Amino acid sequence: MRNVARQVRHLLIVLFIVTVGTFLLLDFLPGDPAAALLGETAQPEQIEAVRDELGLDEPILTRYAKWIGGVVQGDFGRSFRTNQPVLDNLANRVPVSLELMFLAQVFALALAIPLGIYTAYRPGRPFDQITMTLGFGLIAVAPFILALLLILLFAGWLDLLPATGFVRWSDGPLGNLRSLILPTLTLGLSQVAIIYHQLLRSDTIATLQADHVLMAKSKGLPTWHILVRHALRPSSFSLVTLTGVNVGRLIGGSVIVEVIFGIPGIGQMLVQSIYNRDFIVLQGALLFTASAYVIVNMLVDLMYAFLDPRVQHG
Amino acid sequence: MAKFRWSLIAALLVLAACGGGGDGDEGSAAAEGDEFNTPVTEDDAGDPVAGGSLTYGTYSESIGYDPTKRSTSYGNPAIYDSLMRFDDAGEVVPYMAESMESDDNVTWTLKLREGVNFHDGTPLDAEAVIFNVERHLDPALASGAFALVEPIESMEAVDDLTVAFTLKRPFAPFAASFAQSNGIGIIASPTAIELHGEDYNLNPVGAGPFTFVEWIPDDRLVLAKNEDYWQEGLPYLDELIYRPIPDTQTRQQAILNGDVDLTYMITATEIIQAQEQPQLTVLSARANGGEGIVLNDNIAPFDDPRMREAFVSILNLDVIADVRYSGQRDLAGAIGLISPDSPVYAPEVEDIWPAQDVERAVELIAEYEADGGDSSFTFVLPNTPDRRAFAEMAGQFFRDADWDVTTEFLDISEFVTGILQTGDFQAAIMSYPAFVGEYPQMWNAYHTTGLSNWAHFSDPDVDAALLEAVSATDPEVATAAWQEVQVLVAEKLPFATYGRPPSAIITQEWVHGVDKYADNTLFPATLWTSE
Repeated sequence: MRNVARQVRHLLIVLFIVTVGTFLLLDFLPGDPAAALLGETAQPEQIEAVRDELGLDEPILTRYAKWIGGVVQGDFGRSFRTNQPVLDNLANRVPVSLELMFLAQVFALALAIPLGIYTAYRPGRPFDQITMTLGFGLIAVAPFILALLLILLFAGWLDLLPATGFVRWSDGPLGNLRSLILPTLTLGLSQVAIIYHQLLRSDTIATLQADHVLMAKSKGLPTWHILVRHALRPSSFSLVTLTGVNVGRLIGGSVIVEVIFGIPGIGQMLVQSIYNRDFIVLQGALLFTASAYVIVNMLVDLMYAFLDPRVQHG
Repeated sequence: MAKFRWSLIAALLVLAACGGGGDGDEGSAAAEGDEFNTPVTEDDAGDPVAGGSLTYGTYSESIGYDPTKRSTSYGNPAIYDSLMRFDDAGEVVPYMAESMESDDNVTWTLKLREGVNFHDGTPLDAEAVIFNVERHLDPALASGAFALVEPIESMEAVDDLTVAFTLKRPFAPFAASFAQSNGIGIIASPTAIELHGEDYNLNPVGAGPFTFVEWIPDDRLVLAKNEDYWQEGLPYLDELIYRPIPDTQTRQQAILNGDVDLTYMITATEIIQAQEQPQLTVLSARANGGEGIVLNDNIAPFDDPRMREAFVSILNLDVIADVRYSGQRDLAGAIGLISPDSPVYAPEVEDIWPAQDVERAVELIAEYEADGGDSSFTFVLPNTPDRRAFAEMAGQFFRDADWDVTTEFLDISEFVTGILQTGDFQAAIMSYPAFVGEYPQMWNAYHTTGLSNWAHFSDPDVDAALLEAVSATDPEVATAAWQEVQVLVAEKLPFATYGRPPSAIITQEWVHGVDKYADNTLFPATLWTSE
């Protein structure tokens, strides 16, 4: 329990640093939001009126205090541009991004675990080499190129999947999954699958040398049983850590994937709000992303205890 | 294995760059040499069929649907319609309004149709029009259409369906102000504005052919058929969806793949690739507007007319066509902002505008230097890939003329606020987006007080001609004045135009009844689908 309290304190400190940091950073960014909002033909008086309306002329400390005061009370402010409450915007987008990242993780793990164990069991064989070459190829290709290749193949030539666009779960689960296949493939393949595979492979190779595995072998247990029951769990420590750390990678990757496939998630929100100098929206999105990242890593820490009881004593 | 994989990727990339194949010479719907002027033609698809849903992929997202917002709100014509319209010849005609007339361009009478209601049942009457115009006048709302309402001295509801406007001075483009794409002919329900307050932008209520269902910013705008539309039998569609797809590649795949039924495209490359697809129809028109370089009239060296002429003389339009417009020579070489298809176009500018002549430029520069001038300057551009490509090409033009030019790239927002709006630059690249009509864009670009007169160009003759153009009661006098503006601008060259901004609406073969302005504002009441 003490562990959890420490983690929460840690979370609050990180969030404070993140919000102050981004607030300052955005203040240094060139370009007046009011001018960006009104466009090229704005008159100086109009820009002044909008700056006033948005409170942009107040000192940065006042602005930060107002914003954080609102956030604490559940008010994330309203978009400079559309006047939409930031919280509504987040509520629309968070489930979309979560679904995409969840699917990408599941897909990457579903691909990496069997491949990782199998190639660890038979390292150096042609299959192992092919998997590794393909994997490194994928990670070397920029996600946007992979995305375009997948669009070209599945949407252009085979005409099996939509090239872009997102169908909400409420408009039909099948359509929803269909619209997320290519983004999931792109995100999973380019960002995480190969890393999981490599890690699990090398850890499993090490585990397979361990005494308890030798013991199991000598008892004559079937290979699959040894691999899944005796080797997988002790080999998955680093994998669990990495799954948490990779949330950051996935968030980064989803920015590109969401923009290319036109998926209305957090990544797209970040990009749009930077282009539009819509700082209140950007702040909200960053706060959410940072919190998500820290919380996931907190959960990963807690999960060690489950995987390896020794962590509690340490 | 790895080798095979990379050759496959290389092959795929080459194909991607070719837009999936198709040969360029066939399948192009437009006449040769005029690929960017394919106005809407009579449809041979038979009688319109009611029903169905269409999705329109646009290249950017709107800020919202409050008529005072400055934004290309693709959905506005669907939600609101327009009191007046431009017809195919560019003339202003009544549309949702019954008539708009004036004898002296000072007092104007707007007559509305009986029985036109907003989607919430509120009647579109004189009070509603006044309510909307007053919002544009409200400084707190910082309306993008302020320039259009600024001439208004007073207005009054003569009866339920008649508004009398009195202007501060004769103002001929007043009726056109009610026809423009982002003009004041877009009327919102006063009841809804009062009801939603600051959320109105997210919950628009108009009297147009489609009613608002939902808007998820950066995702989609969903509209449904207005059963109580003022034009009997319209609209045909049951549903219309707008989807912003800012990424060019993605937008292109979306139309090739049939994910969307129509798209709005803005680069020559994607338009040409669409033309190569026999199943797609490309609808474009030569709207007014232009891409070019602003030559600051306030700061040396371009305060000297010789240097402005020298600048225009070094522009090689064939190279510009290749680099900027994918080889479409007819897009390069715009003279001023008025399109040759405009009813007020002045053909004589073609003889006045300096032709490409590097030797002449070298002479002019030498002459200027001999008079003690320093011809070197800094050329500022936004830091985007297409502008970088342009700068590379322009660098060659400068070298050919042995001109000492420094190139500087800036973030787009910094470019607008730090350069254009402060006026602290010598030469800057700039586009005037496509528009129909002449006011306020021509005024803003060239009048001493113009809001987008980035060159700080100030010429009493131009100002006088502009004033004459906007106040003349006789349309022929007004046209002559607009032509004079074009001639003067071609002589004085505050803005070195090199091309027209390309834009087109691309449709699938099952899409019919496209009704749009030359600037591609789409009026969707007559859209129908044969699928």
